Amino acid sequence: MSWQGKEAYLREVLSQVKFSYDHEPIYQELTSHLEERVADYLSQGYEKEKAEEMALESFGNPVEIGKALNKEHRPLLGWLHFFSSTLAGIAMGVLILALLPLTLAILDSRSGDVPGEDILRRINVNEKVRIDNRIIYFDEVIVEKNGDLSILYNTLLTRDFGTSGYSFGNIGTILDETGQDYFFMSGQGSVGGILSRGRHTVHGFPEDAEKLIIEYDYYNRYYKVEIPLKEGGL
Amino acid sequence: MNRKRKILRNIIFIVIFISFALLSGMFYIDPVAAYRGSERSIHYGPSEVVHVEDFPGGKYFLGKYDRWISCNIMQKSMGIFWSAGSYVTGTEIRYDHPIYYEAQYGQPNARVYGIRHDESITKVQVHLMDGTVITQEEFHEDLFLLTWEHASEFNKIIAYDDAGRMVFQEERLHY
Repeated sequence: MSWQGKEAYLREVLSQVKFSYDHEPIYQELTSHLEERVADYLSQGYEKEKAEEMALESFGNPVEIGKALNKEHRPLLGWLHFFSSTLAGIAMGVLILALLPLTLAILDSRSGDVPGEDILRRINVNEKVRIDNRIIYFDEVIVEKNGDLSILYNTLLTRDFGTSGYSFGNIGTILDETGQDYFFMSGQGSVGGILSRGRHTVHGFPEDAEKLIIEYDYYNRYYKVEIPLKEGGL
Repeated sequence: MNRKRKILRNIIFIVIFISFALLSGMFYIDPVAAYRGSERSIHYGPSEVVHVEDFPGGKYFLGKYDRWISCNIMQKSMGIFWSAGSYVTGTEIRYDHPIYYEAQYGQPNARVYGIRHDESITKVQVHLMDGTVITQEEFHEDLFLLTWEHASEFNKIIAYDDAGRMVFQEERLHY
């Protein structure tokens, strides 16, 4: 058998393998083995043509090889492998798409922060509240030089990830210790997502207020967070 | 790794992924589960679902929760998954008229829903801007729902008692 007969030889092998999805990898693998064997014969001093002929002959009967390969590449297992790999690939893609925003949110966890040059006072807060499927961590209150007061917080969805597009724009009513409430602006930061960072800014909050109170009372959910403003430091 | 091991590995991964996706609410294959997830995400409910109505590609859920009512929609996607439509909300019932209602229109799945405070009310009519009149005589624990699929906007609502007398009428404010 000549090297020119390689294609016919491989076709003969592949004709015995019923699972056509595997024909290409089998073809590639057999070609690679044949070339290795040719190289082996060449290194033993055979002429190229003779080396190629011997390599093909050493492989044996193509029908028998094909039958043996067909046992290894059974259609049922082959299709199971094909479909399970496809499904696993899709699942992996969905997981990556779901986890990517979470990773970006962690990397971007300082978004919504106030520029350093605008900060008059930074008060550390360690308050955690939970409503339904969301945990809210209030971690900082920042008093700005222009008198604005910003409340910074992280929110974490614990379930219902399919609804993670819903933003949490209302942390509650902002009050001082006298019960006076204040209008706030929201939306800064990365609100929305499984993990998100938010910032609410209050204009005109009194400089001499002793407490900042965040009170949430909607749809029978309630929490109250009291933050002393006289503590903390620069 | 031989093919059998690869198949086993793939199947284990797929089962874990599906379990996680369904348990965590990443996907919903049940419209009621999607509805409950949307309620939790606006920190509302759980409401008592008094009526479910189909529309092409989804369902209206008419619900009542303490002093609020809601009519949110769940939509089907990719043939098996369910997700909430836009503007999920609950609205507080007012008692200053024989009926309290909400109108959501100017978008697909337009609807008027509400609650009667007077059980003698047996019929509610919604008149649209194009002249269409929609009538509803079914109440579900005093809640009612009228829906329309075409683009026409809400114009007025009229409630009638069992003797056919008009007991409430309100026209949309036109600016």
